[in-house]
Amino acid sequence: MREKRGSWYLLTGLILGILIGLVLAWMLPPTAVSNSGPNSLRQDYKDAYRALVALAFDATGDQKRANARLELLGDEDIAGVLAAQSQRYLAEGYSYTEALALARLSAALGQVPEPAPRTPTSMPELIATATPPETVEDGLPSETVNPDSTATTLEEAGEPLPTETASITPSPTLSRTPILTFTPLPTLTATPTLSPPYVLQNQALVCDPILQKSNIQIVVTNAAGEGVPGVEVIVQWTGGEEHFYTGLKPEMGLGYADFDMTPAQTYTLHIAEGGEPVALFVPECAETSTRYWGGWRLIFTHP
Amino acid sequence: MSRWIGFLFVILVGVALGLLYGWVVDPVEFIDTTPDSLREDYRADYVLMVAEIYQADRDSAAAVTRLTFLANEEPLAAIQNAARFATEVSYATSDLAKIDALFDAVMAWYDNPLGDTAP
Repeated sequence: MREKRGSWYLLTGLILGILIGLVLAWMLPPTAVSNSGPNSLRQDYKDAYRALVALAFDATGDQKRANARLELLGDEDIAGVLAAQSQRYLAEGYSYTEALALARLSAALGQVPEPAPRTPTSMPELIATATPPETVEDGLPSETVNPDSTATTLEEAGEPLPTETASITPSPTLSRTPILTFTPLPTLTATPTLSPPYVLQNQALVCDPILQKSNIQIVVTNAAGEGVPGVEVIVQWTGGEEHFYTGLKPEMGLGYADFDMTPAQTYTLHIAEGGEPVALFVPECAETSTRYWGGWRLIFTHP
Repeated sequence: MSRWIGFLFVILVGVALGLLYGWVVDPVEFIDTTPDSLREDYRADYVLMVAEIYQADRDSAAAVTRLTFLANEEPLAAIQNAARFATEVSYATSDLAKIDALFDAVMAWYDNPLGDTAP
């Protein structure tokens, strides 16, 4: 006797196959992500991209192009994000030029950033340049807020206007007898003071044939010129990044650190706390008939 | 036996349909990517931005630093690729000129990274 079964197994197989296909397509990580857009970039890369758009706008004044580029990042409130990033850059000691460019672009796109909580040296310039360009160009504000506009609208709409009922005579007020109560004194909360970022004081080529390797020597000093240990330094290059700290070779000085370079590679070095990055590569030194790879010595200090 | 063949066949058809849907109709949107995954046109526009900034500030070291953002290629290679793409898709002549000027500036920076103070 042969059992008679329908074709449900085909539907089961199809559903199973679709599920396997979706798992393969959606769940398994790709070997390498490619052809992505700026909107998918990690937040710190988006910030860098946004800052570059702002600098390019500063350079060209092409607002249409800047807007098109910013739209690629997928921000909902473009001007607001620019203003916030500008404030953050100022607060965290990033490049002042970039912060200013971001503020200018934000203003051009219609949002004037709030005054930055910053040191007095950087405040006036930002506020002055954060004025929307319309008022600067023609000397007239583009939109004038009419304080009577609400009343006019109500009147036109036939709605009764609120009559002024406020009397000039002050109404009697209840006087209270102060009662002595115990109020705890406010505790002092320490507010961190933002230190200025380290700046590159000197960059010098190191040509020493005795040195067997090409490296970057970093010296970080405080305002008094003393070496500062424990400062994080970041070096990035094509396909790589390394973080290290000053002071790990105390025989070379408390603020000293070094990094070995490979020829034909371009590096970007910056202090993690902030400050301008420095681009570097392995230089070639020449002495009479000898040619060899050199290095760099960078001295960072607090201004 | 024929039932098993049919069963495996519809599974394969289902996998194909699932992959088609997952890769083409509703592909996964990647987040938190790195700049080296940017599509070629975005990379070219990035280089153009650097070129626009360079035209204003003439700071070739800063331009090199900005170009290292495009992580997976050296600055000169990035400019060359951008120039090639820009020519292919007919960027404006003025934009092409800016990219060319950037290439020359970066070349010069590699020759003399410290500017006039170099030994």
